[in-house]
Amino acid sequence: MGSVPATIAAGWLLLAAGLAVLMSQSAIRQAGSNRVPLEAAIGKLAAGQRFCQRGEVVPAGTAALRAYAYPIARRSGTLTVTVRSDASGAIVARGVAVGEPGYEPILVPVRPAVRDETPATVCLASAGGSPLGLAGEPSGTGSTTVDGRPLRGALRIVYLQPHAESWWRFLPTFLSRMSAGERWSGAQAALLVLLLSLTAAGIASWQLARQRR
Amino acid sequence: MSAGATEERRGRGRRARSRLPSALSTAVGRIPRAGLVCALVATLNAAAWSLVAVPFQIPDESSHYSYVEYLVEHGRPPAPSPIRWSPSLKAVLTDLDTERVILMPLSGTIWNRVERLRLVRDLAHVRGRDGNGGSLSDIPEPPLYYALQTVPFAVGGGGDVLDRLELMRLLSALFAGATVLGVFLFLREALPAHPWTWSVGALAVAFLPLFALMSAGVNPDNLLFAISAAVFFMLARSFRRGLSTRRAVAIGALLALGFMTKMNFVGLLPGAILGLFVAAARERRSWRPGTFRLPLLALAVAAAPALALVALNVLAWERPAFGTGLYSTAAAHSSVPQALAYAWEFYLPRLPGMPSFGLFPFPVRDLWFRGLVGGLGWFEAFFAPWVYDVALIPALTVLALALATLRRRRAAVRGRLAELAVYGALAAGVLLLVAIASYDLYVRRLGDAAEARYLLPLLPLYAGMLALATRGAGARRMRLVGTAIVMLAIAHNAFGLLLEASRYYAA
Repeated sequence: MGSVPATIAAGWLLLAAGLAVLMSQSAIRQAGSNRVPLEAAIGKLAAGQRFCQRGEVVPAGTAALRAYAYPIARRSGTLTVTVRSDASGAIVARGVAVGEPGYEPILVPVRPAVRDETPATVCLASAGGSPLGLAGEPSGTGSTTVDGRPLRGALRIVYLQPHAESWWRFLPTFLSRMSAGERWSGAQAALLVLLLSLTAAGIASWQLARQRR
Repeated sequence: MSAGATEERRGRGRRARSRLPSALSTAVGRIPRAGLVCALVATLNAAAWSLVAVPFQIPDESSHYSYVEYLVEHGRPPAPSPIRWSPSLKAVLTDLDTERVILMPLSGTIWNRVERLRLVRDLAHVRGRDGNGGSLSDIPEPPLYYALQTVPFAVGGGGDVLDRLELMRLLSALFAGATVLGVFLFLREALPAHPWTWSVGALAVAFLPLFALMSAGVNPDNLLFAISAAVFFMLARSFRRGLSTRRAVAIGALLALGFMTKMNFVGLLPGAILGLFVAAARERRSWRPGTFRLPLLALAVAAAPALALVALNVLAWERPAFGTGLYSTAAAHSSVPQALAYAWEFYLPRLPGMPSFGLFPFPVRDLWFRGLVGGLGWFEAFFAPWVYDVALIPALTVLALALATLRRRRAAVRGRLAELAVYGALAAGVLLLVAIASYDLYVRRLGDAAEARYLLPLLPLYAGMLALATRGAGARRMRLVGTAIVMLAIAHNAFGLLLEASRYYAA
């Protein structure tokens, strides 16, 4: 009869340990993305051309961009990314990278890291090397240009945080995102979820332990 | 009409009304407390999931919400027409960027200030409810679940779309409790020897992440699962205690409710009808015509509301009599041999000489097991690949223990072969229906219906397997194994909840 409480206790300990291990895992996480789906190629960016996309909201804490631009044949030339604030017209962040051939989107660190959420225009300028294929949503909203000429489609862009962090450190950011609709804060929602889940699991454990037959 | 007669009739009415709650409380009082506790656990857990799941990111939730909205506004179910959301729903779906989030698993939900402020503004100002009831494929679904959902919708009438959605999700969470209660009662009837194992099976269902996810959303599947569990329970009860008139009427009523809930219920019909006839034949120990009075009574009870619904569909609501969309088998370029080959490959590895439909090489593992263990979000959020390999260990252990129990109890099994055949027929009906629906989509080049959620009407059998596995460990280790199964389910649920949350808030 004593095996049930002992197994339950062991189960809870293992679960707690597993959650602790999971929460300690570090990774560079998204600050956000423009949620443009990766559907198809939307165009090419040749050496010397400049691609711009208006209507981006660059999240606070952005330290790098993953622009879905791929060197088509060989190593690309230098790709310069600029983030220009819509409000002030000033460039708030800039970065340079070189793309390797393949299907990996180019990761471009930008400096300085964007401190506050910034409605902005993001531009990519290619200097030499292989042309870049641009990928995203071909039926995008028409807020993109190449050398000032409208380009139909939208480029997928992912904004990344500056350094790897564990889930523990990421938790406040995570919770702040759980409040769409603002009916309650993310922390309140998470607390309620935790309360409901723990109550359910607690009652289940009690049920197993109390039943004799 | 004399005053005395009127008074007497009023008195009878009062007594009948007072008997009703008392009958209800007696019925509830007969349910073992352990079953109610398991139901409470399932409801609480589904409520937790409902707070984590992003609005309208549970499969087809927007269409089902729209159906309820139409029912509230027009007092009747919608008729098929090209999709047109109400202004309030369209604003929320647009502001949440719902379609793009579905399309791109690497994209989370909205979380920047600009987008959230836009959502809050539209929730407050865009209030129009004039839509046409959702997508074409969901509109033909019967109206029972949606009619029940009009209650929380009306309760939240003064709120906004997200308030109403959350209230509707909580009703679905109650259906999760009803499902788990049905599973518990099924185990009590089908495997009566060890009451403790009933809780093991029911609690393991309550914590199954895919079930919790579906139970957290607005989807008629939730009522379907509850009715399916009740059908399993009533059939098991009839096998154990005999098919009485009351039980026949109850099964008939359940069949009617199922038919009025979701067209997928027809998958359970052949097995349920077989069950009625087998139970009746066992009762009378013969197959004479008079033996089948009760099954025919049950079918009459089932048919009456079902026919009324068909008549209303055709005569009053301009809707397909039996529903079409996903369930149409009138597809062009289909053939029976091809359909059979497709159904085979839908679950089992392709044999030499069979045509290839581009399905998985080993669907039981790659599709169905993987989906049950963790295909969350819009069935595109998965654990790390190694998790599915590791999960095979407890899954195969459970299977081996369950088979060991059946082997050890083979004399009893032989005595209940007809009953087992009925459960097999119920399962086969569901599996075949899903395969046919998927084949129909395949020939119309609309994808497939390869989603593990369609197997959840068979949750009572899943719970039965777990209860058998618990017994398979032997008397000394039974409680250890049963507790381990439930603790594993709790852990599975916890990591599933985190996977769902991270899919949308930390993509």
